[in-house]
Amino acid sequence: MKKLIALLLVAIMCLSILAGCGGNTDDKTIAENNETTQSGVDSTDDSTEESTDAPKVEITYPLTDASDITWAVRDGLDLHADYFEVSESPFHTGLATHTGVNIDWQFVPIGSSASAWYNLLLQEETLPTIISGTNLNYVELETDGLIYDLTAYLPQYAPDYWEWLNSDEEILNSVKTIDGKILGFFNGRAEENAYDAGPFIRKDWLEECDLEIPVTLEDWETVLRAFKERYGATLSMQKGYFTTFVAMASGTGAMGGATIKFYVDENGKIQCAQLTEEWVELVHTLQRWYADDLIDPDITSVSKSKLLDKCLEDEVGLTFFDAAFSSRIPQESAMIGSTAEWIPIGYPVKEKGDEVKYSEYISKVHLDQCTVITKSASEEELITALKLLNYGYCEEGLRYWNFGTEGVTYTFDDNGEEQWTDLILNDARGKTNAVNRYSVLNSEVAPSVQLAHYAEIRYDEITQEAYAIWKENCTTAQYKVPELRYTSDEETMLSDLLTAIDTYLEPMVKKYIMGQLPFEDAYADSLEALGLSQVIEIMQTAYDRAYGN
Amino acid sequence: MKQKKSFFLRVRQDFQRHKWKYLIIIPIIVYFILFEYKPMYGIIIAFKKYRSSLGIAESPWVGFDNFERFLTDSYFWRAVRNTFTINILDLIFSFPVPIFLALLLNEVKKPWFKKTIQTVTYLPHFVAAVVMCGLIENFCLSQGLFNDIIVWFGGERSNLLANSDNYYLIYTASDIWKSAGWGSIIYLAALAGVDQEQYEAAKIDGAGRFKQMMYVTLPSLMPMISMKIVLQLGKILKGGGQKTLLLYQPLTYDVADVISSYVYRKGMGDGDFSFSTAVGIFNSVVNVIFLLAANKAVKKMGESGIF
Repeated sequence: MKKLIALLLVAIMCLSILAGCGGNTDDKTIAENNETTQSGVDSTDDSTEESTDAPKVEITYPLTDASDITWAVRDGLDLHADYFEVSESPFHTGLATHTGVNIDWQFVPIGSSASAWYNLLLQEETLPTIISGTNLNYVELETDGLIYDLTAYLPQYAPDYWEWLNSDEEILNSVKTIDGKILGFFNGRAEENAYDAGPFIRKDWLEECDLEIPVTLEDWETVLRAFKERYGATLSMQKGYFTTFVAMASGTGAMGGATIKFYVDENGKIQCAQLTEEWVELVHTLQRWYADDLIDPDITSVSKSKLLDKCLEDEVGLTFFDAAFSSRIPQESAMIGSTAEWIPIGYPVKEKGDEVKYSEYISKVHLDQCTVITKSASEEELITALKLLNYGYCEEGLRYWNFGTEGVTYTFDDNGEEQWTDLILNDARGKTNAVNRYSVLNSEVAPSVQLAHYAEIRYDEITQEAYAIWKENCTTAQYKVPELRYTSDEETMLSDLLTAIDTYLEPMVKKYIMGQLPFEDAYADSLEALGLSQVIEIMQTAYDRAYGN
Repeated sequence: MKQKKSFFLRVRQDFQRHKWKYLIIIPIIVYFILFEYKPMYGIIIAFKKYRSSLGIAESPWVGFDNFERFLTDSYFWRAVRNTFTINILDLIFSFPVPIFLALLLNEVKKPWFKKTIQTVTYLPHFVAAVVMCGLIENFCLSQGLFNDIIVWFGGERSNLLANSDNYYLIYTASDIWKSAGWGSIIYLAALAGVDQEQYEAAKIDGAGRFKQMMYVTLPSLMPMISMKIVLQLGKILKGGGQKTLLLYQPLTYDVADVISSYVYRKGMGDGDFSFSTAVGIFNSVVNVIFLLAANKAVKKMGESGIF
């Protein structure tokens, strides 16, 4: 009898082990198949010419006849921290439902390094159909025959993406490789959301000192002196922003900071910011300010949180921050019972009315992040993948990636604009958390475009006001060097030269400003000796290649 | 004339007699072969341009290109100089401290006092480097703790980490704070094994406590010390790395920039394994030269080297 019971127990235990050997069905999401069919699949021919005359192919979602897709994510499209399974995530399940595709997601295991995971992934026999992430080295992958060159397929199978690319010459030219190929789906951003960091000032102190809001750099100096005298406060900002001088250089004509920077002049020529007179003038001005204790001595070490503390402790009167500051600082001030009032102000200029040619500007398209389709995909899987990724660029898909699902996360108001529903607004963990769970647009990996309206409703009024103020008079887009493509050798050379140049330039500039060493008048010669002309030459070649005269 | 038994016969006999000792050592040997020797094959990527999509074998050869890249670099040699400097400073100032600590602790009679000091000095070892550097950075700010102390002594406030003059002091001092206690353990262990009769003999000869330390305690520690010096010199171009990246900034590049941090900035483009392997080979070659030289020197002085 005892033996029988023992045997039975063993049998049950064995069976329970086998139960765990299921397939990974929990990672797949089942799509609802609706009636609509895809139209215009065979009608147009796949040519690489930008035929704006040919009627645009329309793809309707959800797709029917979609193949199953494996989508590996290196970063950017990961599950929200609250979720452990794809089935829990509203964004990922929603995407599968809306597009009608079974997606088998693969993420970097917790604790693993993304680059190690990625390198191992590439060694496998069969690669996942789609790979998304930063630093994929997609140009090399294509040369090695691991991913598809998508250029020929786009007009037919990803028409909305194709349309977006062609809508702006700069976008199309940035995205194309040196051989004119388009290798993946890139993330875009509406121009209106390009300026998301700027100067902030203590309004209540301005009033107490009876001063106007500073507009020119001279005004800034006046204000700083007053703040120093009366409150002992200084100018401070995160070390990254200080290094680029983005807060001070802006409208003064100095187009760069302590690290080497380039800009494009009116003739399409690449110039070095550090070789201009205005830059030298600015450096001398900053040295003067530092000597008079107007600049925080900790400015080269200050981190974001430390800076916030300094602001709250009344040690800083003028600073440079990202837009989130404008909503964060009132909260934190209230918590400590301070009556401080911070407002965003415009970038400083030399003379009132000058353009702001240099500011914190985020590009329209990001080239470091990409979504590619691997050669492991069969013909059908390739077509499905193209259509799936195209979704983010079609009207419905843009809304999905930006705002979520209509009726659930957003509704249209009387002006026909999207507004969040109560589900988002009244979420227990706050609006930001809710938005991040339902849409993934804050990632630069997303194969979609961040709409202007996204920023409008994502952030509150104070932040939007900041966006509007910083945009004023900004012509940064004209002067900024667009993202360029280099050959492998050019890239290596560029990285070597730039590292050496910055290793020389940054300490030299900062030591002078902080009063440790005198200014090296022959700095231009030193830069030359380190290969500055070579750098400009390489960049110019790349620029002409893409935007050729 | 007795013929020497063949090697294999002797091994077999030894194995039969000490079977279990052999068996126990096999996993360790396997570990070394798999994880330390077999990967050595990967060193060839220093002479190639490694691409993960191609794998080690298929990646193209580039000869000495990677080496040329850093040997002709303007700032690389400064980085080498800085690496030497921090390691030598470490050897001069940080190395003797655990020894002194052990010697002093050895003289302490009250067990509770001894244990308290030991615990207090060990604890910093367990503080993660990142945490320690975060604290240091905070204390070095113009309103931070270190500046408060400086003002108390009549000095002026400044951002201590932003000045090259302070860097080596901060780097070495934090090293001592962190590693002195833990390092003293091994010396205390060695001291516990000193023959008590030697002390009695010394006392009979009229040696006071100090002379006892000099002529009995210290010599008994010499084998350990010489071995550690040799090992330390074998790391002359190693390290800096994490701590440097946490404590340095452009203002202190001229003294703080070490090989690992410079190469890190240079190879920012994720995954330039070939380049970093080439630099690694350079480091290893220099380290081995120093290791062998130190070993020889130490043996010449009569102490035991490591081989």
